[in-house]
Amino acid sequence: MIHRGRKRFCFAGARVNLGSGDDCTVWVFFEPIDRRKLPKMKCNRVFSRGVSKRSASQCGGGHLQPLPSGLTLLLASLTMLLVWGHPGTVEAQFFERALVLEGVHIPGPDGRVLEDSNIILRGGRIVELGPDSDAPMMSKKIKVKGLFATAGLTDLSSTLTLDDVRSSSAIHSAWDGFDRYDSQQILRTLASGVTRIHLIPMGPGGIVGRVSSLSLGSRDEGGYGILHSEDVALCIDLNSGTPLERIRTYEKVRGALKSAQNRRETVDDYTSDLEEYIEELVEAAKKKDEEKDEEKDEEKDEKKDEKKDEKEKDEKDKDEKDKDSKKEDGPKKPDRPERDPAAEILLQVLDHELPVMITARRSADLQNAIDLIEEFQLSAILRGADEAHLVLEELAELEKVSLLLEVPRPSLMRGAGPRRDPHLIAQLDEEGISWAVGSGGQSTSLWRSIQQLSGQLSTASPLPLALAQGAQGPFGGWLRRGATEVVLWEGNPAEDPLARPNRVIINGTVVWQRPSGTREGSF
Amino acid sequence: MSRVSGSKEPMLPKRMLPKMMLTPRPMVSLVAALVLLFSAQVVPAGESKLALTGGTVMTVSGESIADGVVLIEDGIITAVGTAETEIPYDAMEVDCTGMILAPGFVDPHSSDGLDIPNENLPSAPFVDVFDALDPSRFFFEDSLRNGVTSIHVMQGNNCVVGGVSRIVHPIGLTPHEMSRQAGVALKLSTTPRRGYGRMRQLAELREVFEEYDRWRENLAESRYEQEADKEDDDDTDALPPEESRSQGQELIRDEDLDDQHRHLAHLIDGRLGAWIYCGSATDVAPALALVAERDWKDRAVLVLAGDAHLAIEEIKEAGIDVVLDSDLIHRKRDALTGDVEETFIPDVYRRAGVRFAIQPSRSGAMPERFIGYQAARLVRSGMAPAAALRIVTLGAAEICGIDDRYGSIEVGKIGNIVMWTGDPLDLNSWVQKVFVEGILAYDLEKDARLERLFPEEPEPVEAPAPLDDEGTSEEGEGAKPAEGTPEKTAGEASSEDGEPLEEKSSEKGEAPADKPADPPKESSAAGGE
Amino acid sequence: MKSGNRWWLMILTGSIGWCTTVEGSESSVVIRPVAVVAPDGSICEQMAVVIHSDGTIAAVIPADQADPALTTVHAAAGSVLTPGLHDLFGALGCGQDALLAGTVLFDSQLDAAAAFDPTTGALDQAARHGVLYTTVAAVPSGIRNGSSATFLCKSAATAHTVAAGRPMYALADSVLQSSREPTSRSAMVSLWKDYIVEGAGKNRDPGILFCPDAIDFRQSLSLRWKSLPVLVHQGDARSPVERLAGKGALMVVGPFLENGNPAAVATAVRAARTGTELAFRGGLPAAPANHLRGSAAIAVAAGLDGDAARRALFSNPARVVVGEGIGVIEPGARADLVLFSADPIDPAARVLQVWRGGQQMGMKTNGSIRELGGIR
Repeated sequence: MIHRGRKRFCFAGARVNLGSGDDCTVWVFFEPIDRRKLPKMKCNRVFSRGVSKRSASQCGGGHLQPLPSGLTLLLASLTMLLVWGHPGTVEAQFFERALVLEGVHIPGPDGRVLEDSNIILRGGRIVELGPDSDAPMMSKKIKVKGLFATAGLTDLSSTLTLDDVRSSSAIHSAWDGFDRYDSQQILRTLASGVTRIHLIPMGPGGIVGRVSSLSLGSRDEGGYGILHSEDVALCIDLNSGTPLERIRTYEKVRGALKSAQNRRETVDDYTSDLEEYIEELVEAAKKKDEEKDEEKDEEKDEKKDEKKDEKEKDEKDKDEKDKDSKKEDGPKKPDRPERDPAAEILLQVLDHELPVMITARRSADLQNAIDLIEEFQLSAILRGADEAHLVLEELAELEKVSLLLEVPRPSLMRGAGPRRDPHLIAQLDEEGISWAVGSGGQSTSLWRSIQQLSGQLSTASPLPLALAQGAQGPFGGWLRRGATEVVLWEGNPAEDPLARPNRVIINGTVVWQRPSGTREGSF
Repeated sequence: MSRVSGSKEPMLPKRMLPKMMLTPRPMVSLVAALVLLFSAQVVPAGESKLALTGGTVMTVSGESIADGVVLIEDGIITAVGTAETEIPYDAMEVDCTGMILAPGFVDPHSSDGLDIPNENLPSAPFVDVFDALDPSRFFFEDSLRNGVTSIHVMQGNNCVVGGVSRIVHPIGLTPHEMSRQAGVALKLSTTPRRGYGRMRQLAELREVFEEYDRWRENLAESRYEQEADKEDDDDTDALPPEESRSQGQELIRDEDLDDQHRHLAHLIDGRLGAWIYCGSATDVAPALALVAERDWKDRAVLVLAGDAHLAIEEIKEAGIDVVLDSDLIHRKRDALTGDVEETFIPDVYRRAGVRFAIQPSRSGAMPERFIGYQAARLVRSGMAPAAALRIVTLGAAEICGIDDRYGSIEVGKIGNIVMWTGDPLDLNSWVQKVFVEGILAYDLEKDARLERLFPEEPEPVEAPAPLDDEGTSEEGEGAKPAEGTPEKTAGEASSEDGEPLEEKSSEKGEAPADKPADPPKESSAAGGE
Repeated sequence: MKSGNRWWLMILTGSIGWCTTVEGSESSVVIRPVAVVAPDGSICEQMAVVIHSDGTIAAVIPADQADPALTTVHAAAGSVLTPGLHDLFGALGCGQDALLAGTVLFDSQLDAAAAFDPTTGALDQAARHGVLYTTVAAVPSGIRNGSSATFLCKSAATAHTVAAGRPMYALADSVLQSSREPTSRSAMVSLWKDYIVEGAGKNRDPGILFCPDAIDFRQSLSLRWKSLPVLVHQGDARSPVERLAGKGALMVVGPFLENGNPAAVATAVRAARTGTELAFRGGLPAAPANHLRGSAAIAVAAGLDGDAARRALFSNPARVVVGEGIGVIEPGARADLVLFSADPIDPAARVLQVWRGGQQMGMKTNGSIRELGGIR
């Protein structure tokens, strides 16, 4: 898990025993590192493992435990030492038994294969890999000789276990729709080598919901799915319905974004008004204090009873006066804007905190999407984008746009859907538009889709393309230190098109293993 | 009908008489029949004292007492003991010789007494089941016939936020008369209601509480301002909104709550419980997250259905009570291998040590709404009979939070006692009499509906009685084949979980006399691991 | 990729005879050096295939033995030459609803060829994806549903039949109709039992039987067949495919689509393990154009042997329809060839070149990417 604060660096994940019997992995976050300022580097946050923004609040005190400051300091210095020693290392899981995958071959980005290597995992993360790595004492070994190890695949466009297509608001989150206990489907997905998915909410068109990213590892409490982020992108569907409906959808989305813009003005006004109001209040309070002092001075000599009576009268008068005066020139409290959680999310979109993922396939819808992106200066991912070759120039002009393609399924029917240019990807590369691939549905097809695509690109191997999908994540890409997700293949996926995953290991647990013997036909 | 009413009119219990007088003659038909059905010839004198003597008392909370005495005064149990227990001179004594006295079953979750289980509105925290209670439902009548004396009536599961539930007695002419405790819990659901998807359901559920928070902030702010205006302006100044919001929280009085938010406020401040419906395992996590976030741990109950038992680890970890669906066996076919995996759901919770209650079988199934049958199935799966009985009485009362008054025969509890002809979980025994708050609420011999159903004399029992011979001695005449369902029950049981039955027949070596102990402990009904 | 040694040694002897007699024929074309899919599904590397001018394959010989004087098509490295793919029981070349039959229970007259329109443009399109044959059959609404018809995928004025029709049967829910007998499964099975005695049992050709569900399959096997028909079966976990073991059965499975039913795939793999030969069913034009190979890739991922998958793509469909000279690359067979850039069951493989009856097809997508950049 990486905390959302972007400029912070996470340095250590250490498994510590908190003394109360439960141990947890503790992440220490630092401000950006600068060697000259190193002494000033301070521990910013301490989080326990696997707790994201929301899950932290959900889990209550159970997981998020403030550490005693002494311990924090100790930890910080300890990890600093480590960092000093191994600038690249992220690991410091001292106290857990290591897991060793013995005798695997590791295909590398350069096409070479590290033969007969060991992969050593601690605390679910790879701490060492290569032919020279020796298994530490007391480690748990898994004999996987001859298998090929790669990082897990990432499906950037999945609807795994989302059986409903009724999501229709920015406050809807795909994570809510994920069925943790649908083990049949999840295991099938793992069996295809996919370990991490971006869940895309589906809906009737318009603003559909938010995309979540999760790992398919098994949860400690049962079931599968470890949330990485609930706010990967806001999904907008401009693709569904008849042409007329699609135009209406576009207008609706545009209207929603406009009203979000208006809302920002209201909110900004409110904030400034509020500040003014508070200042005025402070002044008014001062004035009152002064008046009070004066009053007190005057009234000091008078008798108590009189004072009381008079004061009451006075006050009554004053109250009335005050009320009048308040209405006239007293500080006026600004009206608080109504709650609108959906608009808040749209504001995040307008502020580039949350990208949008716009589903559009036909050129007309793509044009609409481009108009939206231009009008609101969105950072966007265009999903589908089959006819992107027809709007290539407009796309090239946009900044902050990438395409999320699905593998075309060529049809012999006329007018069956958007026409995909077989050389779309080459054209995109030429124009410098970044793109990625998703399965667009059940993630089981991802590896085959990527293989298919690599054939069209005449690339030597689909593996680099497949691993590039996850490269945006912290531990995606090629197998390396710090990775938590390992897929062991029966053949070299870089060369053998028929290679199949044999085992999938996430966070140090074998979450899927190819059944042996007669039941092997299962997946 | 007129025959029946004519003969019984003078014997109405006193608390019902005034109501009868007020009822205009033309309206009588159904209502009168009902009244008469429940009415009986008890308590001519010393109406507030009742002594049940001679029966075996299954107290549930403690040891059973053979030839015990239960004394009920003003509806409350004042003494439970052996035959030596002193009986006040003015107590009305009912001889229960040969019978078994057990606490009335507690139905932990039912929407059967309502005209419709759910509103069309997805989120309706402002409704109260009180307004939808229909005393004329056969459901209540059947409840008595099946030995259920307290029912937690709650809105159905098809909601985002449902209304407020209450505890009712299955007797009375108006919701008022039936109600015993208002405002027990609010129904929430993390499972999508009809037409909803999971994303929408959970987003709306969160939204209900976030909207409530905002409303409460605003309320606090305006309350603070009211107070500030009212009081001496020297002390209470206008504050920045944020501070007035936090300071105003304490100033919120009950009368400030509006209808829309009142029950939510009660839920949050602890006056109401949270019963959350989870129709499948994946819905458990968001429910538990909500419970943790709002700190409802001590008053949350999960109403489970479907494959929710897969989330047993989470439920166990959270330490929350659950109410199980009436469908006790879960079957899942593996699409690839074709293997059917069967799970006897209560067993999962029993092994995990999670406290659970069970619901009566669904209406439409035979034997309908018979919670005793469900409990008997627990025994078949290997649970001790006493533990199974506890689950449908005291256990359910604990989960509903009413165990201080219901669920067992103890001094101080409400006198809801059922007189059985045999072991309450034996499907051959039937309910002879039901006392609700010490008043005879049901008597098999006066059961007009059963009389019409089975007008003929029952067949004489030839074989030696299976359990105890007393049951047939006096009550033999009357509407003997209570419910007329024992045979069908057996048929249903065999089709439901055939294996245990087969085992029984195959393992004939064991003595058939001790029925409840008969099924082997590791019953295969528990399903595969 | 093991090589089917025995196979090519056998055909080599036949080919050498040809080499000596017709050598130097100018109109012949040789494709080399190329890997070739043998009838047993294996891939033989470094071969040369000589196409005779009459549209048949003249010889399959090791690449170095080919006469360099012949017109040579140089295949790209790694490319694989295969017979044409075969779309079994799709609707390729037929108009919408053209294959709907009437309500006749035993219709032996019906000929699916009547529904075929050879001028359909989709035929050429399918050929560009490597699909060179299409077998159409009436929708199985009766017990006997006429006969199948198999054509070459070539948009032309006249249809080119490449296999005789085979009788089509069905034991499936689709036979049960309210408008005529039978309306129940038991009635259908009893009709079938009678028919086996009098009709199909007497026919020499047991035909092709639609039995999509597990229960259809089980009941089909319980009939007393003199010789087992080709079974068209979807199946699920309950299909007793193991009962076909040792019977030399041929089963049409699929089509397998992404997001499809995994149980059907597992059943097919199970059947293949017990020795049943598979053929993948087609679904053009509704399904994606490359779905036959997609079916193969899915089945291979589920554990099907690569050779078995290639047989299911090429030679077995030809066996299903009893086509002559189709589905295999051997001397005398039709020169309907597809050159894939890789192993055809590799999803990355794409069609480089297609020959129909020895004639090379113009491939639109064959130019370089740069050239095509301008084409919108």
